[in-house]
Amino acid sequence: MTDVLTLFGTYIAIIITLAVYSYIIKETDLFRFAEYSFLATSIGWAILLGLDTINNVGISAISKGRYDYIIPIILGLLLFTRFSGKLWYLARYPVAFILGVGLGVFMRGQIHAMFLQQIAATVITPVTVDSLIILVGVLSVLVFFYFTREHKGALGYVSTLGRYFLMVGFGATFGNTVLYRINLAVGRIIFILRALGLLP
Amino acid sequence: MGWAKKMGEISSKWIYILLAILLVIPLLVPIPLPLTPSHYTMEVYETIESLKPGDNVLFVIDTGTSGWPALGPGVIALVEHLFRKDGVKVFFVEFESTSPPLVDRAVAAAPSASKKKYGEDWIHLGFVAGEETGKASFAADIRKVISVDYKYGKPIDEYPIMKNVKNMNDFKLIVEPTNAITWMEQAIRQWYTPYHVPIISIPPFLDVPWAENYYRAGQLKAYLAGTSGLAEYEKLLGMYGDATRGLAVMTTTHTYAIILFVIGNISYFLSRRKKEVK
Repeated sequence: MTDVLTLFGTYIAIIITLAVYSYIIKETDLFRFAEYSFLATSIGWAILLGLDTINNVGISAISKGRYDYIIPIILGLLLFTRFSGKLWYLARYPVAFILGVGLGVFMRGQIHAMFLQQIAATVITPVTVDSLIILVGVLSVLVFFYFTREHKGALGYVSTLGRYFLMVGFGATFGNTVLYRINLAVGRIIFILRALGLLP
Repeated sequence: MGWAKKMGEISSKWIYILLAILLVIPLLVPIPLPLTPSHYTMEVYETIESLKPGDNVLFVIDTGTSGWPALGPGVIALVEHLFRKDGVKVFFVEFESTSPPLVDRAVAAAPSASKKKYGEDWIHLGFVAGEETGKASFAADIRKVISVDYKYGKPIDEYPIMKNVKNMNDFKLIVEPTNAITWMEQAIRQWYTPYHVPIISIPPFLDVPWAENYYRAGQLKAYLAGTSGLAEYEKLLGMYGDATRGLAVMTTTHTYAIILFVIGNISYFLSRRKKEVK
């Protein structure tokens, strides 16, 4: 029975994959069906995982006498008051709590990890051709975004250099994006060829 | 310059059909390509090789199902390498909601998994909600965010592997293949910065230039870059996996992409010059 279900799932996956790539020719109903199915499945899966988390972390803790876990569950339920005509304002409290905690946790690591350590790595580094290029790149890009004075004379040259560095950076990112998208297609084609018995 | 105009007007349908052909043929007729592991790949390999019996490794699969076709071969290779190391314990956890089913897929595809016992050598802790706040909470106290394992739904304290594992300080290494650089940045902020646990990663290929910043700053211990990085890793392990299979495809399709860029640019500039003359 499991083999039949696996085979059925594999063929559905092949059809959905081909449906998604049918967009290359034109936007067909088959593509829309695949797109909506993906969205619906993702949302359904996320809801299931959310409920599972509430059960495993929240409900199980409350059942063991940890009554403080009721607070996050109440805050979670308050989010749904947004759909109420009278009590909608109560949804602001959990949103404020989520944003406050999220921002606090984020900022704790952000300053040190993303500012100080990155600046230190750019400035305090052994003198090599690579490190010099990075230093010149960082400084010239900073000048490019310096708008207090008009970019004329020496400032203009440095700003132009910064623009070239940015173009190289965006070019590298674009190149890697092309690589990544083709790689995703390769993964799906390997899956199809394997399902059809054409690959080991 | 009629040909330039004609080239610029080729239907994208034909461009994609030729691309599809170039994607399929190298998979069916393998083309052997020379492959020498780069220092990036060697650093990942040597980091895992340096692990000793009893070391705990946190394996965070945040590729999501959408990133799996590209990053999956690398995840499988890293799982295989960790499972080849005697006494090294692997703890799988996910912070991206579509990733939990991928652990079973990675373990099933790793040949050495059959020698490892669930609950003693490895465990699947499952999904932790909350993204960055979830990561911070997990690092402070695992039991506050996970009570049961994902595979069997049993309390985690029933497994021997969890005996002396309480928080991030109990891990020797973090492995985090990820589908978005933001996941890696969260790990750097919440795990590397406060706990100094080294991180190795497979960043999404489009974010490799960003990952390099963290690697140079020492915040990322090592990473596998692109299909070539994954294929090099398979070679080091003596595996012929999907990354090696895909490498020839990447070569043919990228040569094709470069040719298209050149033709497109020539066509554009010639058409523009013609308009200016008029």
